[in-house]
Amino acid sequence: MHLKIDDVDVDVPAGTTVKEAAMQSGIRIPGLCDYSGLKPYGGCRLCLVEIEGIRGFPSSCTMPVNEGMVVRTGTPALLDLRKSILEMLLSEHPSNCLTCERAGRCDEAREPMRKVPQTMGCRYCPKDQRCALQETVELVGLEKVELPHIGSSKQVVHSPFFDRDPNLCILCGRCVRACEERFAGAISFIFRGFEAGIGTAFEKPLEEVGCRFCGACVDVCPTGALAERAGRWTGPSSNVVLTTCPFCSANCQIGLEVAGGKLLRVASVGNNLCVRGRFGTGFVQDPSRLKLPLVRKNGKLVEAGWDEALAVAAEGLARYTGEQFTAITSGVCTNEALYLVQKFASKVMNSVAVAPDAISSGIKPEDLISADSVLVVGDLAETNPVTGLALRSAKNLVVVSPLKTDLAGASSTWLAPVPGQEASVLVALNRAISNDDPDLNGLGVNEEEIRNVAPLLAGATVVIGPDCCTDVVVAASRLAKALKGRLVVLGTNCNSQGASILGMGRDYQETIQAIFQGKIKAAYIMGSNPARAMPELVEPLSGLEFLVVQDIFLTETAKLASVVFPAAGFDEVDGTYSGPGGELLRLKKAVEPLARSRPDWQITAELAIKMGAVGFDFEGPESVLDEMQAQPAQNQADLESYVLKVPEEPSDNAHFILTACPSLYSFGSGTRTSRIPDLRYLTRERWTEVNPEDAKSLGISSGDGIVLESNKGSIKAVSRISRRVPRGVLRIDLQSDLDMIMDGRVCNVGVKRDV
Amino acid sequence: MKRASDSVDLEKIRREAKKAWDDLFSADTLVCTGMSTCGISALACQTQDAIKEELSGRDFPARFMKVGCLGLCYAEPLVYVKKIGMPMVCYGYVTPEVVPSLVDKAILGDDLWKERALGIVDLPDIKERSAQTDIPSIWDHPMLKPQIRIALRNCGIIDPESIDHYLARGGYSALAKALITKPEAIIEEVKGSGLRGRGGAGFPTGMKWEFCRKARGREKYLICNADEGDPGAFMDRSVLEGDPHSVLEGMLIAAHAIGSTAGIIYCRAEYPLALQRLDIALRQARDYGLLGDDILGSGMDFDITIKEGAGAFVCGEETALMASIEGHRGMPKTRPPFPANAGLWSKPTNINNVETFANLSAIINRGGDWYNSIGIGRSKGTKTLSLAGAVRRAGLIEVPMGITLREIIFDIGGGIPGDRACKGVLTGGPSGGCIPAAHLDTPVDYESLAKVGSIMGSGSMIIIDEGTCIVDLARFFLTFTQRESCGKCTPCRIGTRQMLGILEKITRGEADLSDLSKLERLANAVRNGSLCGLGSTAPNPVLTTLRFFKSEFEEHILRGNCPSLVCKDLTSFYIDPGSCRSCGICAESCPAEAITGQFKEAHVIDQDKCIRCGVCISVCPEKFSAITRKSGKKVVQCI
Ligand SMILES: Cc1cc2nc3c(=O)[nH]c(=O)nc-3n(C[C@H](O)[C@H](O)[C@H](O)COP(=O)(O)O)c2cc1C
Ligand code: SF4
Ligand code: SF4
Ligand code: FES
Repeated sequence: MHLKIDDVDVDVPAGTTVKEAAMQSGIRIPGLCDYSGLKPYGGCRLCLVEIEGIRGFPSSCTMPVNEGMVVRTGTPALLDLRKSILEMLLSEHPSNCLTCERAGRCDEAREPMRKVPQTMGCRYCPKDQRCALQETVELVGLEKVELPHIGSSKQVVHSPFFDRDPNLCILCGRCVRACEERFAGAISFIFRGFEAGIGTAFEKPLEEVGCRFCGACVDVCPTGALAERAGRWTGPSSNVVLTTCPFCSANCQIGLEVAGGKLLRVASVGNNLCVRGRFGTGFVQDPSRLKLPLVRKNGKLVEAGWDEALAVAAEGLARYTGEQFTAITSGVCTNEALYLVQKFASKVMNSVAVAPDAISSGIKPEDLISADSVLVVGDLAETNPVTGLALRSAKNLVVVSPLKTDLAGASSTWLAPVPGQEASVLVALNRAISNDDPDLNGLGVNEEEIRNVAPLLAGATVVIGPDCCTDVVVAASRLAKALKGRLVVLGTNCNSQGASILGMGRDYQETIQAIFQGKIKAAYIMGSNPARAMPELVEPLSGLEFLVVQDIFLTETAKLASVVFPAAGFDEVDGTYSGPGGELLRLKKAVEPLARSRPDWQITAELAIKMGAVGFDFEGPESVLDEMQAQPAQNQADLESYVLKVPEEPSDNAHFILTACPSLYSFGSGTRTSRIPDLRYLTRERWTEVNPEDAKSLGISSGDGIVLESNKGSIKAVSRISRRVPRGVLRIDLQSDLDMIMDGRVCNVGVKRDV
Repeated sequence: MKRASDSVDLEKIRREAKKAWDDLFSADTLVCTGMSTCGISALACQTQDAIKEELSGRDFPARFMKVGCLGLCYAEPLVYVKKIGMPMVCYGYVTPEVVPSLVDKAILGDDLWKERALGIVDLPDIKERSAQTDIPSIWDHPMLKPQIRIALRNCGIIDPESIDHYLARGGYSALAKALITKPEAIIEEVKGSGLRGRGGAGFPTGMKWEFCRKARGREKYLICNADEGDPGAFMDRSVLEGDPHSVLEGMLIAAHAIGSTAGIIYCRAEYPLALQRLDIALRQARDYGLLGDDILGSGMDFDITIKEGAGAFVCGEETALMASIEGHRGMPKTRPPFPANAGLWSKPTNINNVETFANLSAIINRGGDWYNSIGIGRSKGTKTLSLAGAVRRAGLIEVPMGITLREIIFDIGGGIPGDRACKGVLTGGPSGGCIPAAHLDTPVDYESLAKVGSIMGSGSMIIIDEGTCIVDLARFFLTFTQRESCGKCTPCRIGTRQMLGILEKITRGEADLSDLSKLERLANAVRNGSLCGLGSTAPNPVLTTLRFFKSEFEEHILRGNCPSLVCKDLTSFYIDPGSCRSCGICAESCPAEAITGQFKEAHVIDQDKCIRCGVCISVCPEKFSAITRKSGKKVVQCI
């Protein structure tokens, strides 16, 4: 489309807005409500323009271009109108600083002023110098606010991770649209007239209205109205380091805002993030980080120098070899660290290195998102939220889940089996495709549903969440083959794919068995906390003769160690993760390693060298990577011969099926996420989701104490009424101590009120 | 059950209905009561009960019927009595207390009770005419005579809950005609009629339909806007309460023209009676086969649902209305896309006002040219208007476009009560403007009203006299729009608030002249910068009063004088020592204990204590009339 903007000829594709077209031709039009990626809104009225043939002053951010359009952006009438409108905005915004003639030059007095509880002007605002109003005032050329100040003094609303100061809100509605974009719809406009604002239904806390704390609202807010508490008063960053989120296998890119060698906070780099990437990486700044190596002396772990610790570890480990030794790590670590620990295990110890999460077979995220037909098992909104979000746009989305998960709600077909029967549903689907009798006894899914959906799945991509057990993975892989589709097994951790490529999953089960059986005498555990994930391992692990643990915290596992090495955090190292399609994702060092901690790969290399090994002399992580990439591909775990377990029939004497599922707010064993106070707050109770009908018949309401009783034992919990669970099913967050009542992820329980 | 499977069936049903309708006037005594919201709030229900009660003891066969609003709201409750062999007489002010006399004189007696008769309801279907008596026809009543009733043709005449009455008066014949006419031809007819939307903006209806007809999409929605958020307006309510089928028929014609299968009437929940009568009408229309599948054998499927609105003013704005139907907050959206292309649920949508629809059957039946011959310039046909404020005969009227404000106020409305002078008239409610008395010869049509800075809007007219302070009036309307702003856009949300602040300052006597230019600058920015009609018209009351009554603003500012003695902070009460007879009644009544005075001593008001409630003035015995209200800096200071 061809148009003229201020006498400049512009060509843009149809569907472009006039404002975008102007920007593309270098003409800046102010505007505060417009935001790329959000639906056009037209609320702030600062981007008004004149268009020949159109009455009045249309907003350029909402006006699609038309062939031959003639647009003016800077007539005297427009300039005046914009000034008037901006003046109105500022008349209710604590904006004295914006038009102060000393704007920006009052730094001397600034520090003490920042600490006042109420934001009275820019110099007191958490978004100072990151605020769009400041830019706009300059762009519009407003010099003076003559209108009387009519700002409000409403209460600041505190939520986990961020605060909302309604007095700084300009009602641009960006946060509301960002939230809708994420399908949360937690916030909306409330009240009318001058009282209008943004809030939740009945002014409930965010966590009760479906907010998942992804921070999208904070990212888009142009003012200080929404600001994260992390780094609230640190001012703007000097540098944003692009790196990869250290949590799930969605491998989101995140920006680390740095100033003065310190990490301030995480910034979105324009993509969707979840609460963990956005607000959960502060664990690296936790005061309990390990700063020095520890060596066990007289039964106690005491601080030591690197030389000493390496020497003790080298000497200790040198006494073992072959099957007496194992190395355990996980996909939390970089490729470089994983590769070296594997090399260490095989070259130095003549053994293997294993990882619990080395099951991952992916495709590139782009391919996943563009897939037309997708079958999903697992609750991605809890495990891989950003992947889940992307999958909502699949044309044909089939979800197998006993719970009404986020994706189940958005799906075109939702198959809802009894918990624990997911694999059997996949088998039934497989049979239906080959026109066998699906055999649906006791699955909770009826034949018609299966028959209806089966034909839609030809060539489908089958996506298995990391919360699914091996049986589901195996059944899914067979189904994908029958469908002539693709199988995607999402890894648990950011680099499960890396661990999987290195073949670290093959011997994992046997290794754990061997520890239980006492066959293993010594171990080197890096970036893994089995003692927390599986409390039953504490005893066998304490029985080891020699244990070296390498971590950033004194974890439950580290406490059992003979030597503990302090590792550097994900923000303190350079390295790579392997993305789901095998692509390399960079981890960039943003700050120096804390105290005396060192990068994982370096510690392993030093240990090997200390033990007299050769081939561990690397210049940096790049040379480790080079060597790794030169290795031949490893064999993967064999799923062909796997025999599916027959799931237990639920017994009738218990009323409810309890299913333990991972939670967004507690990642993996919780070693890292439990260090984030607001994440801890969000998981402060052992919430058990109960269907409203069940709650009614049990006579319990949200927040009541309850007791769950199984054959194995009983625990106390707190009820939370939720429509996510069907009748007869209870959902509980996966926690390590659930072994008190259950062995797997599903068990039968009775429920009663705790009196 | 009667069900018309084609137009022949419909005519059969109509003949039966017509016969029953005619019988209504020839058998037994018929008593009709005006039972729309206006009548009911004037106790029409109690009146009807009282009549029944009075008659119950006697062996006097009578039939009772409710009718809608005839528009003579000032004289409610209205009761019509039709005795066998007599014309039907309309009585006004029939409150329950006067029922015994009514029954005695007009129902049981032979006297037609002329003193109370407003006129004879002459209908073609009633043989007995006004000519038989010396009571004039109601249609010659000064309030009704200048009217041309098209949208209101049945209001106050038929029982709004009877589809048979509607049919008897020719109802749904336009639908039958439309269904055998090509949609394009109907659109041409409506275009030719010059009908413009009656919801406020006055957009040519035929053109709007054409856009929607041409829009791509299988599903198209048709919406009837019955939100009527303007606080002074009640014409849509009257039409829905008095003749709901006329709206349904109009919607059916539109549905056929644009190719819609689903209609929605968005009506405010504060209109329970309208909702109830609509619901009845919808059910009747479905029973008769006029809604549903294969209407009158034409192959057209169409049904209508009702959506209740929560009553926010902005929800009358079409895009906000659609958002509200979709379950979102009622917030307007920018256009394009226009509803005709992407409206409700992003489907092509046509939205018209209640009155727009009510005009359609007449246009189809009598032709676009006929409609076009009424009115002037680019404003064709008639417009319903609600008269309120300082006018003798308040009520609902329908007049040809082009009639002057003076004719409306003085001929139809009977002028200003008391001996007061007309100060002006506010047209278009809170979005409109205040037209001064000097411009009363302005014709009522879209263009002329716009020329004087006002709008037709929904058609509300509020007449003001000298007792109204212009600044206070502007403040009053701005308070309304300011509160009703949805909050989406800056100029409307903050600008109106700032404007209100200045107006309040003026009414408190704290403003200076620079505030007037600030006010004007703000008003222009709000008008030019706002997203939707609410914001862009909100400054109209201020801009027009500044234009026509600037001196009154200046009087407030420069001399602290509120000439109408309305602005509390600028007025004070003053006891004239010469007239005061120290009866002490004022001192006793003053809630602020601001009045002191001894026996035989003139009383004095302590101005610091006085809260300007005005009780003293109302209690001072008329024969003394010692207390006066004054305004103006000098006066107030010297008292
Ligand atoms: C603030 C605002 C309130 C409105 N309220 C109403 C209303 O109550 N009824 C109505 O019919 N139109 C109302 N309108 C006009 C509608 O937006 C729309 O133009 C109208 O329904 C179209 O119908 P018409 O073409 O038949 O007039 C309002 C417009 C605005 C800006
Ligand atoms: S909180 Fe921020 S993003 Fe949301 S409306 Fe207010 S200023 Fe805009
Ligand atoms: S003009 Fe007022 S009512 Fe209309 S969108 Fe803007 S704020 Fe909302
Ligand atoms: S940027 Fe266009 S109206 Fe706000």
